[in-house]
Amino acid sequence: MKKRVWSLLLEGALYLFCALLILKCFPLFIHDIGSDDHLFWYLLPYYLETVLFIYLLFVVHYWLHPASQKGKRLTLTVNGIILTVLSFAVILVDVIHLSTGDYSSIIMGHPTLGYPMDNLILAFLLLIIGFVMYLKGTRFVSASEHLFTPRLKSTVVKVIAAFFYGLLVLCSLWYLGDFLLSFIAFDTSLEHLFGFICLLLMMISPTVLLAIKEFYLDELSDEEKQRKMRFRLAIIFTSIAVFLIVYLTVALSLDSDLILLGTPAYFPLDLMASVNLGPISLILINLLPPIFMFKK
Amino acid sequence: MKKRFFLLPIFLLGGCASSSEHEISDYEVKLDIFSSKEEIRVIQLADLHWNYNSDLEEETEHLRDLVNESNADIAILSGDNTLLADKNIIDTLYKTLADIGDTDHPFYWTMVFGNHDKQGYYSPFYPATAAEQYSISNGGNCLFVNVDDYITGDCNHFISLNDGEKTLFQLYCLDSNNLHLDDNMLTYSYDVIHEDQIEWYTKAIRYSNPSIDYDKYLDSLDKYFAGEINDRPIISPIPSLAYFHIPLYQTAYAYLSSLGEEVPDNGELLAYSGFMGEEDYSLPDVGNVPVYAGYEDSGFFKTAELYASTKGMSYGHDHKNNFCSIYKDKYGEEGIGLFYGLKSTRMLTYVEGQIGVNIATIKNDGTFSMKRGYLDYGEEYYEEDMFEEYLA
Repeated sequence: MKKRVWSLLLEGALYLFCALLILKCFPLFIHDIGSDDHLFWYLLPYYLETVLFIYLLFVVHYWLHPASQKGKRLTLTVNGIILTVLSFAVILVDVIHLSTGDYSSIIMGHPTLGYPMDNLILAFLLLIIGFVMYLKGTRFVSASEHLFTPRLKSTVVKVIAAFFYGLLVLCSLWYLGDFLLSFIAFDTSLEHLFGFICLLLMMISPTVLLAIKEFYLDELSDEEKQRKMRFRLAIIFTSIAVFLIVYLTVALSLDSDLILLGTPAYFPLDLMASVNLGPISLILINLLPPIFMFKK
Repeated sequence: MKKRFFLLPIFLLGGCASSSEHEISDYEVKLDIFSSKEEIRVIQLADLHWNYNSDLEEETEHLRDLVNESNADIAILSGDNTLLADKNIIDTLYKTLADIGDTDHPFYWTMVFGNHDKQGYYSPFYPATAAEQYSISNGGNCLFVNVDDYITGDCNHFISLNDGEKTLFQLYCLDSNNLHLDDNMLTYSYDVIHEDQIEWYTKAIRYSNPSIDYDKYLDSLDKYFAGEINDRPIISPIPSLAYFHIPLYQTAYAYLSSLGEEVPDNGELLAYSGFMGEEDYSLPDVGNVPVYAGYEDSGFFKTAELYASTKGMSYGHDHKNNFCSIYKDKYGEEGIGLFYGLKSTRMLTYVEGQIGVNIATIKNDGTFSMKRGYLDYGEEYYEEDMFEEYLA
């Protein structure tokens, strides 16, 4: 039991770390797409490493929630190999860039202060994690533990649900990063505070729901109790979502400059691509997951 | 800049305190620069776009080279100075500019904001507040004025260049803001210089030219346009240049004129040089043109024509355009220069070989000439005239 608590806490810490990574990596990627001098090859280790940490997060999730012992073994073995190979690729590209002079020194100072040194260290860490996972997978001994029977039966529905769940996690990671960003990018004029509070609540709410699901709901071994709790959570979070949507509508009607002047750092895609995606995506990721939880 | 207030209940109600009026003089920086020089050079640093993937060492050196090679007395950053920056990048940019020049060769700088400057890892106010520590009043060389007011934008200010006795020329710096939510609520268009900013601009010109009775002059002008009088009334206010980020509709009209197309208000192209390298953009009521102007013509150009002070307008925004023109329509007497700044760095998008600065050489008789100063990274610096004649 104690080991499982630690594992779940580790997953939480990894989630937080991924939120910080994606916060800086995603805008740079959009910036790169819009640039004449595409830096994709130059920044490949940086992009790939962020992707690998998010990938690791999903692997940890499936490792902690196995549907079968065989599935758990495969999760460790296959993903261990993928993680090892790709993190080795990160190290290799870093070394190529350093040897060709693309990277002027081992600590260039951009895009992160310690780049590419920090990138190399984290890649080595991922490589070790991947290798250990692979070893654990090959030496896996089935043990009696709680298995997580998928709630959805149809394969098609399962695939669709997995896709949207992945999308939800990515959006939630992004907005958790935004939430953390508010500690340094807070609008000190406080002029947009009324709407800003709403945005902060909408940014953190999907992560709260995911955390409750991951650390509490899925841990309930009594299926009936779990079903009742899921229904309660669906009602609570749907109500919260509806409240926040109304709140946001009022806030935006009172303060039309909220996004553009109060929170320009939080919605880089909106400002770079001139589309009003931020509020729409917040509404969707707040409303759809609890509605989906009503499904039996 | 928006007024700051700290009463929580008021914020939560979404209310606002009453607007505090500022004197126009609060927005003015006086610079005694013509007592020691007969002419000065003002450069436009356009769309620097320093970001957290910039090699700050290389960019710092390039920035110093741009200023030193162009022999600039004043540099004006015309917006999108940063994008995806953090405080360290802003501080490095400002400190680099603050460290240029000495007592024998003083150098000054200021800036306007573009549509990306607030999009960084800091409070939206940081780019403005961080500049204050380098301001003239704090012993620095930054001419930026950060007035805590309700006028739209964060950097509306003007610089009066004098010879120790009287103002000979002025530089108006306006915030053309960032984006404007379209009626479909899904997309944004670029913003414009707002009506209250235009009003602020007219107040500043009236304040700077107290000997001109503008009410009487504008009345006469109305009569002239109505055909009640034959001769257009003439005034001679202190000449000025305006700097902002997002181009005006008149830039599109000037370009269309250069293609021989019809433009509104009897628009007339008096001179032009340079090219448009941007892709076409659908401009409301104009059509597809390579000019990424705001969602409407808010009337700044017309006001500048009527008030007769501003002889040229410099802006950036469209990295691949360096089309410059002298353009007038039925409201103007002699035409106003419309100058796209040369993109000053290689950040984001640019045209190979078209990196550098626009240079306005201003004489103490109120005339000025325009040049382009080319300086790509590691290349030789050279200049070329934008137009053959002195303007104004």
